[in-house]
Amino acid sequence: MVLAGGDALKLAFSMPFRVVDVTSGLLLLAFIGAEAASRHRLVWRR
Amino acid sequence: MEEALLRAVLFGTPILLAGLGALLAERSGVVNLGVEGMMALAALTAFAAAQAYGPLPGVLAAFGVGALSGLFLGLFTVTLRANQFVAGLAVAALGLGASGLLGKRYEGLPLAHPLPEGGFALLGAVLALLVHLFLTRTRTGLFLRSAGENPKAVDLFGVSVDGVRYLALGLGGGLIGLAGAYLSLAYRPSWTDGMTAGLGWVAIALVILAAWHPLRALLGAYFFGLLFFLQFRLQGSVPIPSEAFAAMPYLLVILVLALSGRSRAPKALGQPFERGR
Repeated sequence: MVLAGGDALKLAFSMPFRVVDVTSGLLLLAFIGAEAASRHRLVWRR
Repeated sequence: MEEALLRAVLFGTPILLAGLGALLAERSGVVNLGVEGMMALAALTAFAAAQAYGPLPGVLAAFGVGALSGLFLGLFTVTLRANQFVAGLAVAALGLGASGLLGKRYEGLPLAHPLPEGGFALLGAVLALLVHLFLTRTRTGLFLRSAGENPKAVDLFGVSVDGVRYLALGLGGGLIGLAGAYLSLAYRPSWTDGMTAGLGWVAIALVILAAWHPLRALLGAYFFGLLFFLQFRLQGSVPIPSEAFAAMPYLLVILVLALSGRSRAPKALGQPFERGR
């Protein structure tokens, strides 16, 4: 979904496609990192 | 005929080097779909380092960046035990995007001292043999294979499965980095955005085609190299649109993969290891 959304951004707003690639990659890593953190019950404590 | 074979070897060398890198990771149980991005980042690093310090430091820098990006993938797939396919795709997108953005200042610059393509081709063939010997004749290679087949056995032996998988990702990443260095320092001694042109994905297909065997990967890479050579050679000489020829190697990759259904993947491939589960 993130990759497809990135492709849509490239077409709809003529965004530089390498910027979209970097953003998509970082978003994917953030999502799977957050998923792993929730699986290991890691919580942010203030 | 001789020219066709020579070009097959030269076209096949980056696929071979990247394929050996992906193979090492997969034999340890980690799917590496980030090959395309890792190759692009290493190609840019090799070119930038070669511009500043010369071609050999460029090769070493590409190996280093490839190894680091392999370890970065390991952070998500081994330590965090995240989905290996998604992590690989993210690394591929990140590598392609970052190399495209950071490499703008190098586009169009010539390389003063390119490296000989033949040297890389020889290195690729020797490395295929060395990877084979490493996997079959060394204790570390045995643990690496076992981490991909039965990680619990490795753990019971007192060896860290995570450590073995990081080693495989780091070494494999280094080989993928060499594939990038070949592209920007020897094959087309320059840097252009998108110069990997899908070779990383072909390398992943090669690993499956070769049934996770380094010496079969050597032959498979040259076969794919021959397909790429034919694609260029037949363009213009046959009344078929050039786009059809450009798609030919990739269509044949799909066909070959469909026909090689009997190939045997490592049993724990794609499965994160957690002690006690």
